[in-house]
Amino acid sequence: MKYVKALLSVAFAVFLVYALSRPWGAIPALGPFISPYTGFWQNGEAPLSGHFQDRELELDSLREGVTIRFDDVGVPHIFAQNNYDLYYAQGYVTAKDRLWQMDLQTRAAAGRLSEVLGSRTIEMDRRARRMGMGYGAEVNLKTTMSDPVSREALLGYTAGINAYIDQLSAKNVPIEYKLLGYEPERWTPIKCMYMLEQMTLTLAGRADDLAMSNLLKSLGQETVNELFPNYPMLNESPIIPAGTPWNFTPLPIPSTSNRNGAPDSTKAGNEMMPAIPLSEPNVEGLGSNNWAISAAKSATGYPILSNDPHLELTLPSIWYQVQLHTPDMNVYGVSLPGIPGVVIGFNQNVAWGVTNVDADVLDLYKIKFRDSTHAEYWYDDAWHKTRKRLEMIAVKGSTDSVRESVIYTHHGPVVNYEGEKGYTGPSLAAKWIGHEPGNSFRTFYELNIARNYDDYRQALTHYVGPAQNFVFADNSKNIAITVNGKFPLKRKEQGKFLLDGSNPADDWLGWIPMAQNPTVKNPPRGYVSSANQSSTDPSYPYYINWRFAPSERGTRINERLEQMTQATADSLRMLQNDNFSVMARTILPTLLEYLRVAPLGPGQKAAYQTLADWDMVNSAEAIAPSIFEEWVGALGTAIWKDELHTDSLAFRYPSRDRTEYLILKQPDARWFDNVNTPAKETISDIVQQSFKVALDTLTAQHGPMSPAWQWATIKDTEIVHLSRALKPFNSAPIRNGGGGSVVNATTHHHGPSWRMVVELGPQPKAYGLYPGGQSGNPASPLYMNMLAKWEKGELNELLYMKSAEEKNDRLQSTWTLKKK
Amino acid sequence: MRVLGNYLIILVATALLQFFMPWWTIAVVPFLVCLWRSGHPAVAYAVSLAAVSTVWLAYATFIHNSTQGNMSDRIAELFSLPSGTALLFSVTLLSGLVAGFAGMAGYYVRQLFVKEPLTIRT
Repeated sequence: MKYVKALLSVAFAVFLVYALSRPWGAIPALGPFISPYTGFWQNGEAPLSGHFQDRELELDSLREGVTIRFDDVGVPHIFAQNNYDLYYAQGYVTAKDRLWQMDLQTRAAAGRLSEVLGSRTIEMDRRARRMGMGYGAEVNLKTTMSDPVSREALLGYTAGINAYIDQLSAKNVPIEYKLLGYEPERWTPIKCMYMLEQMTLTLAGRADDLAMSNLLKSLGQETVNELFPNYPMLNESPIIPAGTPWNFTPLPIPSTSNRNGAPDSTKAGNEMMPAIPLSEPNVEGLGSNNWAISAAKSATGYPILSNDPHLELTLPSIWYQVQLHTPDMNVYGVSLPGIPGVVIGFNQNVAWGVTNVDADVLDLYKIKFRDSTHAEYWYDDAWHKTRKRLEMIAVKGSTDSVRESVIYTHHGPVVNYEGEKGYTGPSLAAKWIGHEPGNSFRTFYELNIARNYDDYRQALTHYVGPAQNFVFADNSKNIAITVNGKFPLKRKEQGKFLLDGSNPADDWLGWIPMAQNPTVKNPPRGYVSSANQSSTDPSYPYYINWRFAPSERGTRINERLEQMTQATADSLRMLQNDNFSVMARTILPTLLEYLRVAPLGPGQKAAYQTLADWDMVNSAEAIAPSIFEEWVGALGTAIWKDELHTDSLAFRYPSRDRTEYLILKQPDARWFDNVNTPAKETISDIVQQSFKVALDTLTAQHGPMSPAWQWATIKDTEIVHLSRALKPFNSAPIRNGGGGSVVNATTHHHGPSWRMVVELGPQPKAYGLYPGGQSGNPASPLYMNMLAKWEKGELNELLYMKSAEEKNDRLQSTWTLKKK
Repeated sequence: MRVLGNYLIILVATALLQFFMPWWTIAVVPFLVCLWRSGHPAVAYAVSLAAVSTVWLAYATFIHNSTQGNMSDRIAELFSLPSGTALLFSVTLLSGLVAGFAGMAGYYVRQLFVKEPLTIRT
């Protein structure tokens, strides 16, 4: 009997310990997780009053000493004697604040999420592998490491991150590791390249070639030309002002493909399992604004520059503020965790910023394989060998890796295969700028130390992608903007539709010479700006893309800059927060005219009146923008869905500009008729019906019209934790104005991820913040300490230090890094 | 006296050892102590539970308060508990149960080795 008791009691105790030592589904191993010695408790942080402490660290492989001063919002100001130490310290402090973010983003890029998250992310990983992210990272690493300056930066940065990782004990790892049940792994230089690839994928990784080919097939060339023009028909305010002379002799471009670029009869298929987001509509809010005004327009007598990149808003913030100082450099701005240097910022003499260029740098080529082994493909009237790259996707909780053989043609990797499960289109290979070797780090490095306009122009020559509109201002009172990146030399519309992978004439024809990229310096109008709209007017001799972001933000920015005089940093800050709806100004009066004569119920009348009285500002408390935005969406669907939508094939709707043109200038167009009803609808019918649909939708979701319809509520901006799953790490709901088509492009999950204004001058004065904070730890007082100000549209003054010994009340603590 | 002694030994040993050892120290220590000396299964259970709970409750409360619950409150929400304080007590209870059952196992294993107390036959 006593043996039984002993055995049972021991067995139960052992079972208890075992059960608490292993994860159960999404629940981490509870024992270590809840222990106050090792668990989540240890990730708690002292409130701000006890946050800042001086430290002295002895670290491996530093060459000389480094001093880091932290200011009151936790920004590190790094003072080093050489570049290696500088980037070492940047790596160290970035890892201190953002280690898990760096880990997750580089894993996502490398297709290694399943290794730590299990089978639910296999498809995501497969996409990354098929897209050739690893190939792109490898070729970029090779180029970058061949440049001694870049090499030193990457090695220093890597060593710094690893020095931080090495001193971590189990109890100190970021909370996400504890929750997800894995450990940090050492950093390697290629991870920096993966970060760049991830940005390239986010900003230049979409193609609607398949959708456009489907439309071409179903609607015919003439209709596609009519509905999908290559330049906006109603409004545009191009980045390079119309009339700017092109001071170069353009390269010749063969005018047509010898076998006609239009697709053959191959069925372009659906995309139930697309390898890449083949026809995802461009996300509104995934754009950016930047501008600079000349000395003549400013009250300071020097240029003022502004930039707010719009990206998915997450916690921790996408950006990380830092000041980097050596005897040859003193730059302040934001970095991307995982990449050394400053991406957007300013120094003693210059300031710069970036917005995305919507260049067509991802093209899909139809591939004809000889047989199902995919060993050979047809090109230039002969069979050519493919290359195979075996990708192993490790999966947590499984002993077997998923094997993915990615086939490479000379175009690039094959992202979809004819006949594969869930996909009915042709095999497609992706030709993508992310596979092009380059050294984009070098561009940022040279901007970080730039002293004048010539340095800026020189810095841009190294840049490959994702193409950006680089705005610039300097102390010699120059302002400039360059549509910059490595742009393929293409025929007009080459890549608007699927390309023929067997036809050499469909290959990219070379590159637009960097010096011929669209650029303007000190234009007579006294300002330069960009908001992702068309790079140039149609007079530019090269083809960059047939579609760009809608023109409203650019139009509004240019209108306000045109009128600005005696401007200060605050004038530019207010423009960043401008909520005026150019879209409403363009079409609302016409739409209301159709509504005025319609029979309306009492609720509809009230909504009509709300719109009629609206000042067309998307402010937080207004109800009209909620109705207008819902209505415009319903209207677009009502006009286009009956003709263009299919359940099984990729498709896209015409641009907003084209739709507005239709409403304003072509009210009798056949597109207004709903082909699914026997009646013949007119524009008037469609406008009225969609108005009712919009009100019904709002009523169904939020009850009858009331303050519950306020724009901030409907827009519902929230800043979510990068995991997208750990809700307690999200922000509280944000109450601000904005919208996808307004300058303050805040939407549900996207918006200004960093706002910066820099007044150039003998002593630069700069302001900026992001909707988050320096720290990635949800328990830190610095996790989202900048959010309240961001919500109100305010900015923090940025502390630009001159020396490590400088005294300033905002400086809180000093870290001294010593050579071990 | 032995009960208080065991309580203190387990308390001090687990409090210190956990700085270097894994979390399951809270099972091993009560097991060994009760294997060494214990007189009754319920007492072994209770003493182990009380000692380890004291350690976890004290340390966790200290962190919870000094960090104003800025992590514990969020984790509580993640586990659908009403507050960081509720989490604090749940965690404490769980640690106590592990220690209690380990201590009781220690007692029963001890019974395999100790001789039956002498009984005098007449």
